[in-house]
Amino acid sequence: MLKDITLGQFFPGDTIAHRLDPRAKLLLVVLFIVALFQARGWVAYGILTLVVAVCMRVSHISGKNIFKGLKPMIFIIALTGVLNIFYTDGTPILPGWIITWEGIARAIQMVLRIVLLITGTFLLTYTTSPIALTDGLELLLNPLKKLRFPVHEMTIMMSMALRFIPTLIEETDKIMSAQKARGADFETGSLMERAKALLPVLVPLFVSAFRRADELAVAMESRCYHGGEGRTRMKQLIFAGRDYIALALGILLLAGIIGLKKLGL
Amino acid sequence: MSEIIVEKLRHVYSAGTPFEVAAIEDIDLTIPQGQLVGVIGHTGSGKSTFIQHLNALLSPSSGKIYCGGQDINESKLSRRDVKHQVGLVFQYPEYQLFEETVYKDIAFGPKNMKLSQEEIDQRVREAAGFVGVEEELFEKSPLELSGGQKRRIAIAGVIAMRPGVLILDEPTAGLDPLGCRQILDNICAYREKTGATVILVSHNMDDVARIAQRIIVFSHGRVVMDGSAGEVFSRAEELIAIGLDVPRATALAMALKKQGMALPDGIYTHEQLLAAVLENRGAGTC
Amino acid sequence: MSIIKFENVHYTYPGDQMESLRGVDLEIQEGSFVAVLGHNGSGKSTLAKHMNAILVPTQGRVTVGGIDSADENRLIELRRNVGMVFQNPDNQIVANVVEDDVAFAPENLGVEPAEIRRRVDEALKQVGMYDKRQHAPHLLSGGQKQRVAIAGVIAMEPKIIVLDEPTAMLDPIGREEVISTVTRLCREKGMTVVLITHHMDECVGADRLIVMSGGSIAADGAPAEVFADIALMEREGLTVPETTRLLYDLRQRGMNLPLTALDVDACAKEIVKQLRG
Repeated sequence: MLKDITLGQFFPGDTIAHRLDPRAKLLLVVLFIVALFQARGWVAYGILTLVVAVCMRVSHISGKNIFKGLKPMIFIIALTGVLNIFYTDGTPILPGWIITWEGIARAIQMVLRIVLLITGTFLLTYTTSPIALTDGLELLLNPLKKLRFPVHEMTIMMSMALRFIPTLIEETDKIMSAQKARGADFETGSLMERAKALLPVLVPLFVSAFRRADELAVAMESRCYHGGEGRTRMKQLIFAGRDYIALALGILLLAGIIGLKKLGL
Repeated sequence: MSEIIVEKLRHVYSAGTPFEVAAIEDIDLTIPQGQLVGVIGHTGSGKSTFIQHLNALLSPSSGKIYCGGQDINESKLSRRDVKHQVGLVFQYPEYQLFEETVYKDIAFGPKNMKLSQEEIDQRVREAAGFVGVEEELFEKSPLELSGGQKRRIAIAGVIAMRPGVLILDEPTAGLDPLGCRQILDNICAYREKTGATVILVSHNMDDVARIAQRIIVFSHGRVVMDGSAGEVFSRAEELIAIGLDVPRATALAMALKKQGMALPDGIYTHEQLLAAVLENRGAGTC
Repeated sequence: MSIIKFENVHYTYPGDQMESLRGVDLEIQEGSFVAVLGHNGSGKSTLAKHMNAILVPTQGRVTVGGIDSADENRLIELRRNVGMVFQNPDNQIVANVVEDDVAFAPENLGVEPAEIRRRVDEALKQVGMYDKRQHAPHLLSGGQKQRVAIAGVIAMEPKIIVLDEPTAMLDPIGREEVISTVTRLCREKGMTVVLITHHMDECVGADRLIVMSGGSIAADGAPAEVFADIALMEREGLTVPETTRLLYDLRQRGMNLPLTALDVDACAKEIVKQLRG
């Protein structure tokens, strides 16, 4: 039951988007987001929407999947639209009405911005496995090591957390079944009652998590783990031509959008 | 009382999708009150899925299950009540302990049954007695105790519901030989005293051979054998072919037969093997 | 040549009153397969944990591959030579992909990437998990996970592997996979294998069987000899292989049978031979 939750929504594939170095993709997303917040006029938004559409095509991600991902955010998107429609000053569409043309324009743009933001991020997680993401992130943040930032520790924590998510989900399932077999009821009752009913699941889960952490630590030390110093990596991330090209395109996009901003488009 | 009748039970995962797979199908069984049944099968044979149907943790895709004459999936109420009638102890049950004290943890089941304080107290003490958990431990935190003690407390927690049917999934997993013997002895004593049906799922053929009156063999989602220990273990070659172990005495008997010794079928205990070998010696046959 | 040496080793867990190890003297020869049996609490796990310096004696000395386990400066050097496999298959695998996990130890040792790759592939082939190298660990069976754990350890190219009840949480198929893998590593690759277990049928293929009891060594010899001491086995709450049992009982009834045939087929042959005169 709980096993059906997939995290990060990674769809394995062999498109060019999948083959890009995760660092390039991470940087592209950053460039895209900055460009998104620099956009002012319809031309700029139009170009950004086109870029996203092209990327979707290139990664073989269908509109349906994107829509599924947007569903949880429907409330925020709608709220943004509504607030902007009703609270923007300008020329009313009909005399005496609160709704202004500027309001409608702004609402559309703000909604578009959120949708493009979420879609852009989804494209990243759809085409990049969680491990590749953490690897890429670690390498990008490496320079921060000079500032005593615990890059290695953070990355290994993230990747181990990812490793154990399915295991923990399975364990939660088992514990819930066992407590249900003793008459525990997780479905009926008020919110308070249901929260209390989770105690027989959470306590064993926590206890087991601590024990697990203990055993893992011993196993890791037995395999000569001693922190990040002196560690090498079997899998090397190497930038290929296509990564440089992709980054160049990203920088061009940002430059273009800023240029359009200056031109008022 | 708590006779179990299973009719054409079928359970399918991911129904309607291309990943549809029948975990169990075509299961027809009757388990009379008080029987001690061993359930064996390779990993993935469906035995875990099967036992979770008996206390309505899982619902059938098709087919019916009756306990004491009642259809257990008839209503939400019947599904809830059957969990008090059919107790299920999962593998490594000690990992589910959560209460502050041993007493409270054993009391969890009876408490969920909304019994009176006195009734709960009586049941806790009774259950603890069955598995050998002494009163001195009642106020201790279960997490402080040894693995073996924790397991007994977890089993007591299920026995405290006074189920007419007790199902145990690998109750001796991870225990040393002494621990194994103790748990099995406790289970047998419990059955003798209360007349409960006991269903034991196990990979340990020697345990099953020793105590089960009836053995049900699962393979690839179906019941492929169902009979007494003698009957089932006379089909040792078949069991091995479907990836199961056989009792050690049976394995040795097979080796002896391979060397030409005439031995009866269905040997599954050391005593039977010894007697049969001595007979051969006496009769001068070999 | 002895590769592991225990000299009058005593150990008390912090906060415990009683000693878990009481003056253990032990020498393990390189390339041998040693099984350690004992009921829960006998000290067998404590013994194992001293072999890669997870625990250090409160009295006495443990030397592994020539290095004193109490020497903190040479800890990594000691551990790269002793691979340790634990009971819970899940709580040893740290990475999301099988081959990444096997690479963990060599990465920690600062081995060159190309060499790591070679070792990982080699290790996975040794344990028969090479075709699953890109799988996610949580989708594997218990036996497969333990084999990955073994691969993860042999990627350090240690001389010794110590396995602390590696099959306790596995089904019979998983157990068979693990035991046959380590037996092969010993016989074909010359690795020293120390197997802690309470399943006596896993000890049948070992060169030497040690029985632990109450923190001391209660028996030490060839498996057949140790099992033949039925009184001791029962006293320690351990089971005896069916082969030994049958041979012993037949001997009691006058048949002249050696107690050394542990293997089922060898035992059968002996008995039939005797009966045919």
